[in-house]
Amino acid sequence: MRKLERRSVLKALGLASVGAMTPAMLNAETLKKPYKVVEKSMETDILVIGGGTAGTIAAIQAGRAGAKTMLIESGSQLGGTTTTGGVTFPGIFHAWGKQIIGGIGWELVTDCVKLNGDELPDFSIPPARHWKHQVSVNGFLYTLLAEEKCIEAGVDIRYYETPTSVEFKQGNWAVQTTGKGITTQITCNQIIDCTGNALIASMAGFDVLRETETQPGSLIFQIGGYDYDALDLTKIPKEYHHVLRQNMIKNQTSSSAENTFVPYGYVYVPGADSTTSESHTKANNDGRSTLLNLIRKLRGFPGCENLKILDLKTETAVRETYRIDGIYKVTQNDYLEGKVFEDAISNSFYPIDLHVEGKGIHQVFLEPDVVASIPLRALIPKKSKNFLVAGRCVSSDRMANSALRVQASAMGMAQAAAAAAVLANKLGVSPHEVPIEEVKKLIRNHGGILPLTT
Amino acid sequence: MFRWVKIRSTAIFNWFTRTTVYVKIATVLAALSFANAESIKYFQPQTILLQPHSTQAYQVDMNDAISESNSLFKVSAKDATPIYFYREVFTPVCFDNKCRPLTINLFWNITGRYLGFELPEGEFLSKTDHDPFSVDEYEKLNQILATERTPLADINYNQLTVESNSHGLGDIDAISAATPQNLAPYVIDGAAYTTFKLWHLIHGTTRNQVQKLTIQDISPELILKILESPVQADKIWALEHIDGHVGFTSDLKEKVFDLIKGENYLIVEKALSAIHKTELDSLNVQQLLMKALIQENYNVQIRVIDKIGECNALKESVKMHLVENLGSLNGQVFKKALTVLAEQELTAEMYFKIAVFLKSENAFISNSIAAFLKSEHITDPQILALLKKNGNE
Repeated sequence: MRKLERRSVLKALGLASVGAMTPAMLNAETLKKPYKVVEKSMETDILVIGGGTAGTIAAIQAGRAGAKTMLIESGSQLGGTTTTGGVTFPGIFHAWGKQIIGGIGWELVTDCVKLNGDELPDFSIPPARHWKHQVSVNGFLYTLLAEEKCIEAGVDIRYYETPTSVEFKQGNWAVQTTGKGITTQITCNQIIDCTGNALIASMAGFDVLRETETQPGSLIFQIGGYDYDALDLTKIPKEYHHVLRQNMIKNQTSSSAENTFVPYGYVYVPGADSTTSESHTKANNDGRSTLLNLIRKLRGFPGCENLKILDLKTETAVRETYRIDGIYKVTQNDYLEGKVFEDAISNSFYPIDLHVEGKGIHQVFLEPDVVASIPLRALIPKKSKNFLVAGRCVSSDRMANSALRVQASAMGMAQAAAAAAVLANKLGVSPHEVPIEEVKKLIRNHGGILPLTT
Repeated sequence: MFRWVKIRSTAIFNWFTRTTVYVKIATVLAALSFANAESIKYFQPQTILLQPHSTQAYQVDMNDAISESNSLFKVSAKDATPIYFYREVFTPVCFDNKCRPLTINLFWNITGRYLGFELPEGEFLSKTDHDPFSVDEYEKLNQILATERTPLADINYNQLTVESNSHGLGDIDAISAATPQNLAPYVIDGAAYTTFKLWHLIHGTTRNQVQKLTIQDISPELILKILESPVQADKIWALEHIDGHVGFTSDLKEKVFDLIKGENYLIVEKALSAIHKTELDSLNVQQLLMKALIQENYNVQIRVIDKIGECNALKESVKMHLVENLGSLNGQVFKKALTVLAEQELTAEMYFKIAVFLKSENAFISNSIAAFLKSEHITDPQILALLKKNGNE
């Protein structure tokens, strides 16, 4: 009896629902007019182009310093190499027992570490290997925090947009962008090119440089399902040992909460170039097909039959493409000698680190107590106005660039570039015309660490 | 990296005539002159520069069998301040099925840091081809032994002979096993086993024993002396041994806050960590923290504001000081200051002073203030009107 009652009630309810919903559902389908691309016109003080490792920091700094700031990013999230590229162990912020890069980049890293319940390495003792002072971060958290900090700083983030033209007119830049169903005419006073590829500098007509052969990119992944120590390595060709060892399962569980480095695997992607949609697509295609072939090959080896791919980053991370021809070009000698320029606005600490496909990595380490510095002039293209870059396209020779390109250095220069842009906007001048002491003061006031003798 | 200092024939150490009577603790007057000014010895900077007066021998279980005894000697000053520790080492170094004796005296700073080595009269170190070490090689050895983080720490004795790149790791920058090729900077060519053995003796269990013995002698005065060390590792060791070890005397407090002023942010962090939570209830400590927050640079401020956040209840004057200085803070320090204030009971006057920043043209500032005031559930109509004007109702 009770069952029947329940069934009746449910039936009645169902009928009532159908009765209630039917008219609305019948009316739900409407014919839409063909979409017309929306044309917008916007103004801002500072336009940061590229929301990667450098761009995120530059935008936050500009916003916090009170400038109206817009950030356009061709992808769907912030962080670039640190997130989309999967290099989730930015460094290096410390050298010889001291912190040498701070500010917003360090804030993001430490916030990630704290929110993830991790611990920082002991930076007071120089490590045996430089990368042990890179700090492993949770890439997902980094993405979330970067976006939150941008929004808090009042930065207008525009994802899925990319410039199609840039023109300097009457003291301002006119930047035409296109995105999903939208084109935007952005008028801004200062541009910070954080594309990593100096794409905007080149579009604006400033000289850019490129090596005939560039360093390979890396597509980052993790594999599991095997135990390296249990493998019979005599039955596995030597060239595959390192790939398997890099992904050793036992190393993927950290013995302590101290976050230094998470084992990862990567395949090299020769000639990887993220400058254009076409070149970036090719870099992704090449990386993915190389990885797929590798997985197929590895699964054929004894002990690797159950090998699985556990993680694959969204994009091939790129090491080297274009560099600007800046007012000053940092040389390898400058870097290795730790030259401190009068307009040095950030430190940099990493070995000269040139990856050469098939030949390994050419490394030259800085001598004890030596820390390199970056001059503001290296962030300004020759003959430019109201224009800065930050990140790996910094004006430098190839060897210096192989060290300057790393994340902490890119973050340091991004904060400095933003400080210079904010002041240039305020004073109505070009960045190289801003009194350098003013730039340094603003950097310092927001946590940037300046080279010691400046 | 520490600056390497070689001390030869200078009156920093009095090498005490060795005792052959091993007792649990034996105190003997130290000889006041060098036994042999030409003996081979290399040292790092020493923390305590007092004149040696007495030596105590401790029988401790080192579990490393490096000599006939497990004696660890502590050399102290007349006022009983520990100056340094040493062990007499007589141990074989074996490779290729051959063993050679190694006789050497190893020294530790009171903080456990490697201090130096001295070879007994007539002894010298030699390589596999029996060539004695050159001066450069002794200097390099001194440097290697002083290096705390080295690949030598992660390998075992047998791996010194692993074939180069046997794992095909040569092209990996991230994870690379030790190979003779990349170990070269960390060992003396032709004396890899000797280097390896000495490094592990220096950085092994003796180091912990030294630290334990120093902790037995720890006092605010000793901490103050160590904090004068030119070596950062000593300063950090001292700062890590304040909280829970010694009282926070006024002299110590003054010194700790002095270190919070520096531009070495690792030291600043450690100095702040040395302040025990109970000290944070004191008005004086809160005022000193506020002073540092207002006067020091951003990278000090960001650490100090975290410490202020650990205070259970800020004194009224300190809260007002923080409110009145909000305008001088930037970026994350400003945000954190608001987080600190959100944990405190504020007066209407304080809220009004904070609400003034709603008028800031800097969107980061005005938006942060608006978010703060909204989260405080303010009911004052004037502040609500300001919020409304700011676009936040």
